[in-house]
Amino acid sequence: MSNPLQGVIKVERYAIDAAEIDQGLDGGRIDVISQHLMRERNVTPFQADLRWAAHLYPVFAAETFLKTSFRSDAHFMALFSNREDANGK
Amino acid sequence: MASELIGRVTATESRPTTCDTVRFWVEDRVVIRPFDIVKIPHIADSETFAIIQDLSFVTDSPGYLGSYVSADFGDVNATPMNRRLGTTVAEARILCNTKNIEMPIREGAAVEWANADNIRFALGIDAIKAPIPAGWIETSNHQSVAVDLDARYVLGPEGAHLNIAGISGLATKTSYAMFLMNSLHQKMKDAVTMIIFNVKGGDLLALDQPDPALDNETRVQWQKCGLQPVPFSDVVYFYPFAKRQSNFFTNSHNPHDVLERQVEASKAFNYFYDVATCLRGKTLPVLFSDIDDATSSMDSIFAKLGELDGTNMTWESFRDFVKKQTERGASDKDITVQSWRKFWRLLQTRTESDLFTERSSVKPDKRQVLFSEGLKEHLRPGRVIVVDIEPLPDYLQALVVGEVVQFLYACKLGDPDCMEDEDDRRNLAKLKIVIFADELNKYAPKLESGGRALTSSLLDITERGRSLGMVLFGAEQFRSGVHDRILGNCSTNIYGRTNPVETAKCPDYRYFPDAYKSIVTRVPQGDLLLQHAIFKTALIRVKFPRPCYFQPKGN
Repeated sequence: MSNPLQGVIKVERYAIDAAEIDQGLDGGRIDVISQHLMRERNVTPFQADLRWAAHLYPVFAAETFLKTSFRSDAHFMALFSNREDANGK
Repeated sequence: MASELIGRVTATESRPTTCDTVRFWVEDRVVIRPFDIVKIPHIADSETFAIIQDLSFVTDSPGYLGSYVSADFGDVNATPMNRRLGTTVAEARILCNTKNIEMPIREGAAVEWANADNIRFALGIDAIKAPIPAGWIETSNHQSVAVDLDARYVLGPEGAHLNIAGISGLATKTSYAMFLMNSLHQKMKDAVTMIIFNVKGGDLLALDQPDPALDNETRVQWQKCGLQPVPFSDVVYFYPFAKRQSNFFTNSHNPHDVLERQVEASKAFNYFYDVATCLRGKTLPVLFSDIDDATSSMDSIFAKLGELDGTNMTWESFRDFVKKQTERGASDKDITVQSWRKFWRLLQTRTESDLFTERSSVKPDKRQVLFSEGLKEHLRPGRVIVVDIEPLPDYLQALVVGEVVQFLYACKLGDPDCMEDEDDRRNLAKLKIVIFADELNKYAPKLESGGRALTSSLLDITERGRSLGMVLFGAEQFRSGVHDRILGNCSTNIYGRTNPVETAKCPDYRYFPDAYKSIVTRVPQGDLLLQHAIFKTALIRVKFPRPCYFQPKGN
């Protein structure tokens, strides 16, 4: 690990209703969410992704799936270079 | 049966589909194995068939450490919430396309099970004009598909000869040979005569007696192949002659009651050798074919003895003649006295068996025959001739096999000395003769020198027998021990279970894909890998039923 904070996951949740705004979030629910996240530590994208320690496998799998629909890097870069060429003229 | 999708073709940058290979991922619940056949729709409304060669399971883990870390850094009891992304990928070899299209299969093409008709079409079995049932294929989706061989490629004229290799003790080699011969017997009875050498136990000594222990399952299996579960009919037996009367003048290990039944039905004969038979042709050299003869002095002796007229000679007078040659000054200059002495010593030990007797000792109750006469009488369409050589030592087994093979070959070539009657010769020319020899490595071993008397006779059969109508069915434990040219001439090769040393050592296994190499080391009893000239693939895996004739266990 290159960073001591690697492996720590930050989860943000908004307090929505008045009770939550007044009294804060329900500790029990946070524990449940934390437990679920903790249990997702097994099966990791180790070696497949630099962020593996802070990267949950389902998120990695979803990312991978989304990336398959991306245009290729070369194609993407070509979009910009063409525009520069056009502006240059 | 409705076709069922089992996966989709995957063509990647590094592993594209090609003219002969296709890979597809397999649906999770599907169970599939090598040798299964699948159907894939292709361009122009055609269908392509492919046979599974190998299966692999791939995941997105880049290395072993990925798996280790994923199990909570090596906790063997860790149970993951999510499964890692992975799938089974099957690699299949293309068999054929319904419209002869050879374009590679496209990415994403649907893969389905092939049904029985599809499989028979894909292998080329449906186009066989003279089918010989050869067992059945059992697929992973519980279909049984009958497999046939093409008689034109088993008995000639297109191809001929068959070889079965596999370790002993599984009762597979002999059983399969007998199953195929029974199949030939039932389908082509009027065109084929069979000669079967019994080399071990009493397995082949009651071929015409039904098996009392035959169960219903085996019966159904025979019927599934399109055959009747009945033993051979029209069988005669030749046993080695012995002077002892107790066992019907033979030293065969066949049980007394079986033998008695055969004697009563006039089906059993006892063969013997007189001097004239041994001096004719290449018979005597076969008796000594395992002796090293670097200086060819034995050849000179055989040539010299060939000049003798053995018609009225007894074995005693023949031995006396040889003994005289061992005396100083008795022989000519071509052959030394030492060579005669060596030959004399060998002759004494090798002809001491009761087999070597005179024609004058022939009595009806002893049922003695010379092969040259017995075979002539029994070479009839549909007859099965069993020759028991099991009680004989190796060199006498070679003598019997050699003499029978040489005699049949001479008859087939139309030698008037072997068969006087012209009609008989003409009938014989039309007849197909199938010879089954187990332990082929004994008779045609792989030798650097080659040219041994028996090996050369068997080579003649495999190289010229196809056009003459002589077919060799050979079996042995290890293919690496048998002469290459004999194996090379076989249109049908059958591979039973063997050991990994053999698959590494024998060049014939080199073309097997790795998965098949491992399968051939662990195929169960009753399973074989079959290669036949007409199939569109190198190997298929077949099952066959247990034999349905009685197998005496011997005395």
